Amino acid sequence: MGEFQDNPSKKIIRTKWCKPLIKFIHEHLRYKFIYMGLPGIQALDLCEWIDYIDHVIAFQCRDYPNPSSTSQPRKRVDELENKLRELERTRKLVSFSVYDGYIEEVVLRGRDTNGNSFGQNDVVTIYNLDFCNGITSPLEVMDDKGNVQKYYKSQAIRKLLEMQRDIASSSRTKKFIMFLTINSRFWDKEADDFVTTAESRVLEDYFSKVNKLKNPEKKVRLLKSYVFETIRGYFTHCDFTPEFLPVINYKGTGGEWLLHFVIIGALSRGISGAPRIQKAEDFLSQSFLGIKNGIIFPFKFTNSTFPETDGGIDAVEIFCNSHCYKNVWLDQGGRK
Amino acid sequence: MSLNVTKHDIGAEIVSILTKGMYPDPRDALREYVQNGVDAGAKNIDIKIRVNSVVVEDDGHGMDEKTLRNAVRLGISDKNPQIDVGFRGIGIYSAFHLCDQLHIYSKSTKKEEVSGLLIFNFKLMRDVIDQQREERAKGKITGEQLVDLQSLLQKHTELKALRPEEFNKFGTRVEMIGLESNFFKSLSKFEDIAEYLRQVVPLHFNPDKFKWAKIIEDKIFELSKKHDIEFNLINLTLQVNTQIEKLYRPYTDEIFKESDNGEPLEPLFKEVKSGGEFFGVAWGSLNSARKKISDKKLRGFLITKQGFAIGDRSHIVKYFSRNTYFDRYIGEIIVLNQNLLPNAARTDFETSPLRSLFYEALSEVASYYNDEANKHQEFTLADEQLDDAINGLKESQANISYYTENTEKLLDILIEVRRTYDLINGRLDRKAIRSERVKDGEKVVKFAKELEKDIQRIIDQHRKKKAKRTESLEKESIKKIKKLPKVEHKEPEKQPENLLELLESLDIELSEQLKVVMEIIDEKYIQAIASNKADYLSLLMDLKRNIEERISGE
Repeated sequence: MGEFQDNPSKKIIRTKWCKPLIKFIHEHLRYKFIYMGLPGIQALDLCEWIDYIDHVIAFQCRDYPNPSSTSQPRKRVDELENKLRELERTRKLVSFSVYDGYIEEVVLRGRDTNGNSFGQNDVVTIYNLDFCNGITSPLEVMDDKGNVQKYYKSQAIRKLLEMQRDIASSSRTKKFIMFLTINSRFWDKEADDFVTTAESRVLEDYFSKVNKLKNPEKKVRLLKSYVFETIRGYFTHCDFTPEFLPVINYKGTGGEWLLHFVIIGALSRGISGAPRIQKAEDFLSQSFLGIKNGIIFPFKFTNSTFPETDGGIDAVEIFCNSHCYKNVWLDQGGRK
Repeated sequence: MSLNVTKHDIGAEIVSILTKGMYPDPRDALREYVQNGVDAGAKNIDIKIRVNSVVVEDDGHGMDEKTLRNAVRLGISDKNPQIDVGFRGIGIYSAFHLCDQLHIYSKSTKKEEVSGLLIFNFKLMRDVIDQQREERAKGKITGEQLVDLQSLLQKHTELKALRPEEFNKFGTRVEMIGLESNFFKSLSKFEDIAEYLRQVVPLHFNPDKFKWAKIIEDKIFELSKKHDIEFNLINLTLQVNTQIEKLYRPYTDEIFKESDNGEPLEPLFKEVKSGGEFFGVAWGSLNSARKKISDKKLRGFLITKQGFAIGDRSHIVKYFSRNTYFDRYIGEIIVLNQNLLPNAARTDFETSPLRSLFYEALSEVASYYNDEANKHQEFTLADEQLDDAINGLKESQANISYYTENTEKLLDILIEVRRTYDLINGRLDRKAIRSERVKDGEKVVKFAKELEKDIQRIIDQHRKKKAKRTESLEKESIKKIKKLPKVEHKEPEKQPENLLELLESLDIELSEQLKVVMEIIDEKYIQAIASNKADYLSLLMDLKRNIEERISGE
C-alpha cells in the first residue's frame, strides 16, 4: 500500500471544511499555530493552511513494503524535509521538525525509526492525524525497561493529549483543533472490543438500533461511536472539553471509505477531568456528511432506517452554535 | 629558471586531505559557518539540525554576487586576518566530508543586489576522488591522469541568481543537505551540541543564571573600545528536532553551588600585557567555597579570540604551576590583539615572537590569579579562625568563674587562650587577615591577653593560698605528731561532690529510702541556692563542718 495521494474529496475537506475553521480559530486566538501531523511529502494541507501556521512537527514513514524499517530508504522522509526546508527558507514557516515513522509508532515508542526521541515543548493548535496506515492494532511497544506493552493505535492520541496538557508554560492558549482521518478496516479489532464492553444507556440504545442495520452503514456507525466515546474519554481525562463536528464519510484514493473527524478542544478543568458538554446522543444521531462534485452535503446511507438529525454543512457555523463554543471558548476570552 | 606551474599541479584530493586534517570533529563545521556569520556582522544566528540537513542562518550583511563567487576559492580569502575570525579561505569546505550538498543562500545589504545561491556538490566531488584513488591502487591510471582541483570545483559547483521569493532576507543561509549518517549521530543530542557551541562560539553571558554576566560583558566591551578593537557577541538559537533554545556561555551560579555550596566571587579582571604589547583581558570568578569547580569541563581559564575558543582549558594549566587554584576558577583569557593569530586548527596561536610574548604575559596573569586565590584561601580561613577565636574566648571567660577553684581546669583554659593569641597575633604579623577584619583581630589579641592575665592571677592566688595552707598544716601536723604516741597515715580529705557523698564521708549510714529523700533535699534545697558549682561545693563543705560540729558536740 502506498502513500495516500491527494484526491478531489480530500481537497474539498482541506479547503472548504478545515480551512475556514482554522481561519476562524486563528481570528479567535490571534497568533500563528504549531501544526503536528502527517502533511505528506507534498505537504498539501500545510501549503493550504500556511497563512495560519508558523511551526510544524511532521511525521513521515519510509517507502513500502517496510515503511518503519531502517533498512528501507528514507527518500520520502527526506523529500518532506526538503519541502519544509523550502517553506522555512522562503519565510513561510519559522521552523519545523520531521520524525521518521508512523505517528502512532513514534508517539507510543517515544522515538522515531531513526532513533530520535519524540518530544513536544509547546502547545499544538492543529493536529492533523491520519490513521489510515497498515499497522496492526494493538501495537507492540517496548518500554524503557525492555518490557513489551500492547497499545491500541488510538492510545497515541491519548499520549499526545497528555503531552499537550503537561506543557508547563507557553504564550499559546490550550485551545486546539484535531483532524482525524481513519480507515475502518484497520480499526476493527479496537471497535469490536469496544462494542462488547461499552456500558452506557445511550450506547446500548444506539447499538440496538445500529445492529439492525446492514454493512457498510452498520460498521461505519459503530466506528463513529467508538471514536467518539474513546477520544472524548481521552480529552476529558486530559482536562480538555471536546466538541465533535459532523463526520465526513468519503472515498479515499484506492476506493477505501474513510471517516474524517473534527474535534475541537479547550482546556477546562473540572473536579474529575474536563466537563463533557456535547451530548453523545446528539452527536451519534447527527447525519454524516459526504462530498460530491466539489460540494459538501448531508450524506444518507441507502435504505437506511437510522433516525438522523441534520447537523449542517458549515463547519464554522456548527462550531459557533455549539454549547462548547459558547460556554468554554467564549468564557475563556477571544473574539465573539 | 622559473617553473611553469599549471592547474594540473594541484590535485583534487587536496580539498579532502585539508578538510579531514583541519576539522577532525564534525561539529567544527558548525563553528566555521557561525564564524562566517560573525565576520559578516551578524547579531543573530540560528542553527537547525534535522535528520537530513543542518541549517546555519545569520542576519549579517550577506554576500553580493562577487563575494559569493569568490567563496569557492580555496586558501584565498578577501577577509582581513586582523579583523575577521576566519581568513584562510577554507572554512566553507569544512562540511566537505559531512554532507552531499552544501547550499549557500545569500542576500547582500548592498543596494540593488539580488539574492544568490552557491551550490557545492560535495558528494560528486568525493565520488571522483574515491574513484580515482581506487583506480590508482589498481594501476589503472597514473598521477598524470588525476583530476586537478580547478576542474573538480569547476564541474561540481554552481552559482545562481535567485528571485526575491526564493530568498529574500538579508544575510546568509547555509544548508548542509544529505548528511553523512555519523555526522547526524554526532549532532542528534541537543545537550551535546549545545555544550560544544557554548564553549567555542562568542555567546552572551546568561544574565538570568550568572550574577556577574553583565559586569563581565560590560568590562570586555569597555576594554575593547578603549583599545579600539571590535568585539562582538551573538544571539545563537539552536534547534535539534523539536527542542529549541537560545544558548548562552556555560557559566552559571549553580556550577559554583554544586561545589560545596559555593558561589562565584566578584570577577577579577586583569589586562594581559607584556613588553608594551596589549593582548587582551582576563576575567576570573573564584569559588567562594575554596573547592574545585565540580564540572571538570568548566574548571579554569579558556583562551578565546573574537569570542571563539583557542584550544581547551587544560591547555593553559601549566602557566598556573598547579591545578589547585586553577580548578577553583571559572574564567577566560580574552585575546583582543589583532596580530596574534590562531593556528588553523584553533588549538593554539601561530608560532611567532608575539605568541612567546603572549605566554609570558599569561604567566603573569596566572600568577596574579594564583595570588588572589591564595589570599582568598588565607583570608577566608582567617575569617573562620577569628570567628572561632571570639566565641572561644567568650566561653573561656565564662568558664573562669565556674572553675575558680579548679586549678587544673584553669590551666587548660590558659593554654587554649594562649594558642588563640598566638594564632591571631601570627596572622596579624603576617598580614594574613583581610583589612576589614584587622580590628577584629586586634580585639581578639587584646582580649586574649587580658584573659590570660586574669587566669594567671587566679592561679597565682591559688598557689599562694595553697602554699600558706600547706605551711600552717605542716606546723600543726608537727605539733600533733609530737603529741601522738604513734603516727597514723590519714588519706587526704576528699571533697564530697554531693550530699550523699558528704554523708558517706561522715560514715552516716542511710537506708535506700532515706538516700532518695536526701537526693531530693540536695537537688531542691542545696543545689537550688548555689549560684555555681564552686558555690555548691562550698555549701556542702559548710554543711559538713556543721554536722561534724554537732556530732562532736553530742
